[in-house]
Amino acid sequence: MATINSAMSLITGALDADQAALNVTSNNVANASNESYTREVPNWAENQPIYVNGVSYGQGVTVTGGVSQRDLVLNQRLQQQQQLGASSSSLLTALTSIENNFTPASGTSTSGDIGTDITNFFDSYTQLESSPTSNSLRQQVLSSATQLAGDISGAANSLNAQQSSLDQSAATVAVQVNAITASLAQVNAQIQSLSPTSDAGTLEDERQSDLSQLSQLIGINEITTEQNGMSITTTGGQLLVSEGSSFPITTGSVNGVTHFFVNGTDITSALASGGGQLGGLLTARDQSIPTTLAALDQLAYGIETQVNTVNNAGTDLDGDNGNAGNIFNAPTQVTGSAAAMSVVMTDPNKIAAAGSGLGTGDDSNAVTAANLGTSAIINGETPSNYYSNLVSTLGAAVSETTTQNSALTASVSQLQTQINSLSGVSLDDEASNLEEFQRSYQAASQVFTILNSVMASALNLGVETAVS
Amino acid sequence: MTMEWQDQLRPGVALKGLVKEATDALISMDAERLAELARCCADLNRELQESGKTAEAAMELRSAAGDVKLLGRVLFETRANLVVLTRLHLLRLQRGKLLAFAPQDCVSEDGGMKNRWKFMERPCEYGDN
Repeated sequence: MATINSAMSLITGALDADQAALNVTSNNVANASNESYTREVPNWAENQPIYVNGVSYGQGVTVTGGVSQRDLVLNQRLQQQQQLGASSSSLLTALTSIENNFTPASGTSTSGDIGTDITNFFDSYTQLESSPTSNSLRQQVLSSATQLAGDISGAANSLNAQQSSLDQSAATVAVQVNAITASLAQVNAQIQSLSPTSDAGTLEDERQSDLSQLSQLIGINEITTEQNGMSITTTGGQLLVSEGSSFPITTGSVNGVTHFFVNGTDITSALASGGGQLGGLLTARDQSIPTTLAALDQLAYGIETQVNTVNNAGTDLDGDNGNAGNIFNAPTQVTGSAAAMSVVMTDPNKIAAAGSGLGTGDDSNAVTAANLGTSAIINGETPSNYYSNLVSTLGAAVSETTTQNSALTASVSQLQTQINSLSGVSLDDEASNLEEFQRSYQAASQVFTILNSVMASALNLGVETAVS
Repeated sequence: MTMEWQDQLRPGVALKGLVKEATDALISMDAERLAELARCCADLNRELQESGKTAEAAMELRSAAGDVKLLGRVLFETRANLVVLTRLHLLRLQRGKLLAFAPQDCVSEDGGMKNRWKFMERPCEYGDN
């Protein structure tokens, strides 16, 4: 269980790292007239040269003037934040949908509440202990098993449907990306032809508009080339636009899942971590949902196999010893267990409440089955705890993504405010504006430092402050 | 404003509210408000230290853990934004100085530098800086 102190440490560590970055920056200030300074800006720094047909791209960046360069860099910073924001936004939407699969339905019905289903199922065995031959109590075991299996398979099937939906959405985004990169290549060619050495005016505006749209869809790096040209790569370095040429993203099915290619190279995993709407969609499709499904499969597999094993080890009401049959369908492997989970037993007499070789009035096998509910049968955890951790992990992911998304939205807001306020002002006004910005940062840092101090004082007193 | 906060020196109320206020003020870059909040936070911390209720305050902070985390994230992003803006401002300053010292015939009508002056700006090499 994480503590608030560890959360604080993480944040403080991030600030320390950023302080180091600022120190580096202060050294770079001396080189501010060096046009290569943009290389040092995080995320578009240190790009390796890109070679297309033997021609190198990514070196010899040309500065077109202080003001326009400032606009370009600010726009890049804004686009970078927008890419991350779009990614976290689409991921958050997907995670919230995933989480909804595990949220109990409103009202008194327990439909969809797998946690309650697990408790009810094992409790039904506890009740059967008191009257092992009771038909109604036996029916109760089967009905609670049916409820549990139905809710687990329902959640798994819903996750599979969401995965398919995300797959289709991602493919649609790729089509949109291709349309924009084709447009960008066309604008690049026009700019290089008409304004190779001066501000391209409305064409530059058009290019920036395209770049802004592209940033919402996919994580990109921009590389200014000679004669006002521009090359664009994915954040993973795959070339999408090289001046007047574009390289479309193609799609293909790999094991039933859409993969993305540029010039024959599979860039799917790089796109997932690259930002933009596509990054968020692919992260949800390829990481969040598979992880959740795998956990649900593990839960279903564990319950099915353990309960079936116990039932086949006892004596049923018909007197069959060690041959009562399965309550749940028997899974052959973990993968897919949740979606396929169902109850195959229809005759309540086949529930083996009695122990092996004992009379039908015995309850020892029902006790064994009930005890499964409190035994570490799923990866070292009880079924209830395992499920609880699954839901908690999902909740933590939603919370983390929400925080990230809020912070990025705040950052974009700050940048847009700064860009607007800095447009066309004097150097003195700009300095004054930045000073205000700096003061805001320092005061907020002070607030944060003091909060950290309160926590440290509490910990010195030995107080544990766990946060979920 | 400080007095208002001192009136609310109940740790749970004051700390949680303060974190949210600070985040909102940071997003809108309200330096004056943030400076007030920092002073209030210092007062609050001093009160807590003197009253020995830091453990209680920490427990209250637990309920505001998400808000504290968000403040930290916004701080992180703000710092990066500040770095970019500061560097660009310094670049503009330096360019302004260059233009001031440039021979008049090297300055074009739009304030930029003509080709003769551009030797100052050699193409960068990969690995510069």
